[in-house]
Order: sequence, then C-alpha cells, then structure tokens
Amino acid sequence: MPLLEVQDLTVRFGGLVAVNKVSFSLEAGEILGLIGPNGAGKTTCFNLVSGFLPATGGAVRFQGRAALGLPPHALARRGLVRTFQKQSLFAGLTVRENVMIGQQAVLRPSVWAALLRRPAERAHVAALRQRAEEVLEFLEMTPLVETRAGDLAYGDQRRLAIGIALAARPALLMLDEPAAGMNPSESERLRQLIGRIRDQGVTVLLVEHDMRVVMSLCDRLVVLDSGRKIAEGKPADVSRDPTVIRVYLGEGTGGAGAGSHA
Amino acid sequence: MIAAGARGFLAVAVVAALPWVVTSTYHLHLLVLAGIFAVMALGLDLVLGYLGELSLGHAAFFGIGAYSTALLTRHLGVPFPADLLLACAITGAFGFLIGYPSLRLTGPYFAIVTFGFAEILRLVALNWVSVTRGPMGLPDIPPVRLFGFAFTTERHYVYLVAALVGIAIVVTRFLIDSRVGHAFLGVRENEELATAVGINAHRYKLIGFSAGMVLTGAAGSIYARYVHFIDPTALGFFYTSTVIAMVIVGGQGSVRGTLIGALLFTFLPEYLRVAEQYRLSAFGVLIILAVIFMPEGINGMLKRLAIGRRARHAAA
Amino acid sequence: MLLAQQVLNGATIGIMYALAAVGLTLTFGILRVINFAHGEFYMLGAFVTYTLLVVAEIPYVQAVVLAVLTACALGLLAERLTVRPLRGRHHFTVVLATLGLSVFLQNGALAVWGPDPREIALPWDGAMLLGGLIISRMRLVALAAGVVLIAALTLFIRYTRVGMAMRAVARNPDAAALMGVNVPRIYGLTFSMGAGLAAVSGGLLGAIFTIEPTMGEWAVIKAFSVVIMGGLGSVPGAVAGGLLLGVAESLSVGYLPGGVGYRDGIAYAMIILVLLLRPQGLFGQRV
Repeated sequence: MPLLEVQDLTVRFGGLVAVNKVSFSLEAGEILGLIGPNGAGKTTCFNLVSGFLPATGGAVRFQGRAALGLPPHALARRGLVRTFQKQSLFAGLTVRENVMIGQQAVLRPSVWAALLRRPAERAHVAALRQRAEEVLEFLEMTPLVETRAGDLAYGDQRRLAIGIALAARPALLMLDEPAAGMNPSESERLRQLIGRIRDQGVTVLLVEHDMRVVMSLCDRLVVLDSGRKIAEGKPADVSRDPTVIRVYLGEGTGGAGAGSHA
Repeated sequence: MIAAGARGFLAVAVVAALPWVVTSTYHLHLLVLAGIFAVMALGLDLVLGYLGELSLGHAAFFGIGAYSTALLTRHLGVPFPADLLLACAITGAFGFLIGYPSLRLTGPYFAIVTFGFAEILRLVALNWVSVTRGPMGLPDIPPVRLFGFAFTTERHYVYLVAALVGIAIVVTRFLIDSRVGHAFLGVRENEELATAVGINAHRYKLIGFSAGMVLTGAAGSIYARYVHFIDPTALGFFYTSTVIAMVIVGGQGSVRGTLIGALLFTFLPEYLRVAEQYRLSAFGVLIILAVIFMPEGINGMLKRLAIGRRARHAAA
Repeated sequence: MLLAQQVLNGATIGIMYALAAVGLTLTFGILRVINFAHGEFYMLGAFVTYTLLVVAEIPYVQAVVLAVLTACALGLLAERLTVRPLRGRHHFTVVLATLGLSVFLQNGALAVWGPDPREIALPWDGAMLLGGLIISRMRLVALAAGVVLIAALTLFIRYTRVGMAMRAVARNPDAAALMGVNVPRIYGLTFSMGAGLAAVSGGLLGAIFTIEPTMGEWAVIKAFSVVIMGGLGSVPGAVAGGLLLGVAESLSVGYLPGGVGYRDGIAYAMIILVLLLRPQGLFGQRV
C-alpha cells in the first residue's frame, strides 16, 4: 500500500483549472520531487494535499485513509507535515522554542493537566525540551538554541523550518522549495540533510526549482505543466523525456531558467 | 535569581504587612481596586499578549461576572465562594460563545466584533429592566462571608483581593509554562505554520480567550461584592480602554508588566485629581506619552535596565 | 407611505453616517490606522459650530465651514503628535494612542462645555412635501450637502494629483515613496481630511439632534459599523453601509417593539452578522 495516493486531484478558481486531474503516489521511504515551470500548479497541488486549500474534485489517501477535506492540523497529527516557502518559522521566539512548538502535533495538551497536574506537566515540558535538543543536534544547530529565529542567517532559517516540521514526527514530510534562495554550499548541506531525514525512515515529497537538488536527491519525479501531469519517472528518464524537455528543461537546466515560464 | 517559592513567600509577607504600612482608608480602597483591575488585566493579557488579538469588549465580561454575583446573591442567597465560582463559569461560558465565532476573525475585524458584542451586552443590561433594574443598577449586594467572618472593611478586602491576584498569577503562569502555553505562542507568532504542525489554532484561541474571561469574571464578581452595587456603566468602553492601557503600557505578554500597569493606572488618575476637571484629559495625554516613549512597555524598559546593569557589572 | 417616510428619514441620517464613515475608512485605507478618536472630531464639528453661532454670532453655514477647518487643523496636529511617532510600531500601540487621544479630546470638551446637552438653533425651519413625503428643510439641506460632498470627494480621489498619490500610498507606501510621493505628507493630509469629514457630519447632524461632549462615543461606533459593513478601506462601501444603517435604524424604531432602547443595538448586530458571514464587508473584495 502506498503511503500517499493522489487521484485525479482537481481545483478550479473561477474559470481557471489550476490543477487538472493530477494523480501520483508515494511509497514509504521514497523521496519524490514535484517539479515543473512556474505556474505549473506545484504549490497549489501541495496546498491541496496538505489541506490548506479545498479541492474541487479527486481523492487523496494517506496511510490508506481518505485525507481530502480534513483540516491541516488533523492531517499533521496523522503524520503529514509540511513547510512553507516563506515564513516557515516562529520569528519572535528562540530556536529551541520553535522546535518545541513543532512537537505539538504529537501531543494533546490539556488545560486541566496544565493547572491541576503540575508535576506531570513539567515533566512533559522537560521532555519537549529534551527532544528539541535532539532535533537541533540532528540539524547541526545546537550552538544556536538560544538565538531568536528571526535573527538567524538565511540558510539556518530554512533548516530550522525543516526542523520544526521534523519535530512533529512526520511519516510524510512535505517541503515547499526548501532550497529557494540558497547559495551552492547551503543547498549542498540541505541535500545531505534531506538524505539523512529519509534514512531515518521519513518519506519526503518536495517541490523544488533547484535541479541539482532534485536530480541527485529524488528517487522519482512528477512533472507538472499548466496544472496537468506530463511525465513521471526516475530523474534520468524524465530528463530525457521530449515533452519535459520542451516545456521545461528546454529553457536551460537549472533553477533560474524555469522562472520565465509563468 | 530568587527561587519561585522564596518569591512567593516574599510577596505574601509584603501583602500581609501592607495594610499596616498603608493606613488611610482611601489608599487601601485604591489598592483593592488595583488588585481587581490586575486580575482583569491578567485576563486581557492572555488575549492581547499571548494570543496576539485585541479584544475591545473586555469590560462586558467584567460586567457579566459582577451581574452574575449580584443576581445570585440577591435572589438566591448563594454564599461565597459558590457565587464566585458560578460567576467565573458563566463568564467563561459567555467567553466561549462569543469567542467561538469571533476568533475566526483576526486583527481589526476581531477587535470590532468583540466591541459589538460588548455593546450589545451593555444595552441588554441597560434595557432588561425587570432583571437588571436598567440604569438604576443592582444595590445591596451582600459582602463576602467566609466561615462566619464578614469582610466589611477595605483592609479585609485587601487580603481577599490579594489572594485572588495570587491565584490569578498562578493560573496564568501554569497555563503559559505548559504545553498549552507553547501552543498559544505558536498561534500568535505564525498561525499558518502552527496549523501545519498540528495545532488547532481556533481551539487554542478559544481556550485562551475563555480562560482570560474566567479571570475577568472573577474580578467582576469580587468587585460587585466589594462595592455592593453594579450598574451598566461598569460595562462601558472607558473601562475597556483603561485595562488595555494597563496591559500595553505595562508590557503585553508579561505578568509583571501587567501588575505594574494595573497599579499605575489605578493610582495615576486619582493623583491627577489635582488637575480637577482636566484630570481625564491629562490621563489621555499620559497614555499617548507612555506609548510613544516606552514602546515595549514598562516591563520592556525594566528588562533593558537589568541588561544594562549586568553589562556594566561585566565590564567592571 | 409610512414605510417610505421611514426610509427617507433613515436615508438622511444615513448620509451623515456615511460622511463620518468615509473619513474613518480613508484613514484606515491609507494609514492602516483605526482612529478611535474619530468620533471626537465629529463632536468637535458640532460644538465648534455651536460656539461660533452662540458666542461669535456667525451665521450657520460659515460656522460649519469654520468648524470643519478647525477640525482639519486639529487632525493635522493630532496625526503629527500621536500617530506619526508610532509609525512602524505594533498596531496595538497605535490603537492605544488614538484611544488616549479620544479620552483627551472628549474630557477636554467636557471641561470646556460642561456635560449638559445643548441644541444648535435650526438654521432653516419648516418642512416640504416631496412626492407625498414630508421632509424638514434642515434634513433636506443635510441630505444635499452629504451627496455633494461625497461626490466631490470621489472626484477628488479619482482625478486630482493628491488623490492619485493617496491611492498610490493606500496600495503600497514603499512603491509610492519611490515614485516621489511625500508619504508622511499624504498621511497627515488624509488624517486631517478624515477629521474634517467627521466634523461636517457633526455640524449638520448637530442641528438635527441635541449635542453633548460624549456624542463622539456612539458616533465612532456607528462609523465603525458602517465601515465594516462596507468593507474596511472602501469609500463606496462606506456610503452604502451608511445608508443601510440609517434606514435599518429608522425602520427598527418604527416597527420593533421597544425599538428606541435597542436602536443602537441594530448597528452592533449588523456589524456582527456581516463580519461573521462576510468578513470582507458587503461591498469589499476578498483580499
């Protein structure tokens, strides 16, 4: 059974069909890349699957259960957690607090526990702290625990965003353009991080422009153009697909080239 | 850093000594009012400081607490502290019912919708004469009686209100330090991301708002007991603005700041009485000056002073 | 016929609500500031008119014009002293500053004029028949003045250089600044215009109702409800919202049992319903 199954996913905005009968599936332990030129419907697709946008039609099954129509927080509690392209952190709080809040997904905090079972509650909060430190060690961000998230360097902010999502103990981690705006050394470090996340048993779905990241990291690619799926397969095969080359890679490989095709 | 227990002990000692240091009835009266305002302000700070939303209907919830106690004691003879607990429950229920739809909105929209609800409640208090006696208000609310002891003087109420402030501080602290408090912070800082990691934002906003209103209802209940009288002016917007001033000038999102703000804005208008009819105008000017010159509130200023002192120590 | 009469009465008051609300919505649309002192400029419009009439014995029309200019000047000053220093700060602090301004102005007025209600002597008495409906001449003047002013304002915003600059700032202050718009000047001007519009409304409605220093309190509430109904920042929305509120209130007094006591409740009920069902306002667009 695939971890995630997307079938004929469709959304219309007025007359525009932004995502048109897109189907794909993800096996546990895979890294799947969702690529395509700007305006192809990748992020829209992402928002539909993660519950941030209501779909017009189609079906999404996560871990064998219907997922479409559930609110995002409910999906997150089931193990489907996403990041955002922009502002994917709690800027006013410290790095540690950011990761602690990320763990809310696996908790059921209660007011009664907070007020009436104080010792147990303190133990819970201490456990959150402990786990936050483990996640930050995994991200190689331990020296930054007390830094305000908004004050971090850009690359660190992007890594923290992944850390927050990781703290939620996802079965499926959905990353929305994690490498956007990164310099080559930062994106190389990110590539390694995503690889290590997969090694921990987390399945990854990513939308990405940076072809270097996509080609070397993903097991499979799904290519969208104008809201439709036009190709699917191993990176090497997809990059030789004539349709893909025409709409996308033909404009010159590399992230920047895709930008003009809005 | 003093341990929490020691700090608590110190606070109890200060409060115990207070009515012997402050002897004038008038100042004791102001202390009682400041304490009641402090509880109300702590309730508002949960919404303002921890959820990051501006409620403009706060005085109405104070009024619900006060009217609840007035009606329960006058008609049904409900004894203390049962009336206090019921007033808290009723105010909390109103908080839940009003918060449920309102908290789907944010920013100016939330502010104005809470304002609308509050004004409707005030009009009900004013016009539902058979229950509230309208503008005449409800007099003769009996004083607090506990184990046969009647609370009658200002000094008695200083202790009672201090205990209430203590409970309110503990409740707020426990809530903020807990996992629930972390969820509040997440929602305040980035609601979309909080949702994406599994936090039901609306649920936590509702929890925070209702909890804040429970505290506010407690303040209202004790106020009704203390002054023995309640009328619709207590639900007025002036009180809402005063409490907002306490929280923002004190420093939103901080218990210490809120307490300082409550003391300041209870005593200040009284000392401005020398300015006679210009008293409240001067109060308005002071609010403006405070926000302009203390952007992070009094608490922010104290923090910066403390950091500066530590830096100087380190340099020396 | 009674129904039509109620609607007409409501519409004259509604236009005045619209005038006050347009000022508030402009201030929000351009400065992104909710001005809680807006009602106090409305109150000042009425009281300065009253004082000029009684003390200086200036004719009504000139008195209103002078009152409006006074409000504009005070608005300019208020923006400079309370709103400008807080630019870029947390929006709660700006709200609190305008609340402080409101407390200051309202209590200043109480100190100067005392708490008693007063009346502005009717400049035009008598009534006229208008297609079978009765309308007092004062209300007719108010209605006409309201329509003319709103039309003039719309043209001003659409076609003058300053109006275009205002629209540019509303859309994106940084881009407007880059294109050479003096953004702080536009902020000051808008705030001052908003104060002036509130004062016009106060000067005209003051001759229809009694006036008192606390009248700004409910005026700002009504202006708010109108602005929310119309969609924050939308001028046509504010006009439509004003008319709607005026008519709804007039009908509720005529047809609801115990209507007068709860008349003000109509405004709040409308705000709440509109916000909960259609948060972008009746005429606003989803952002």
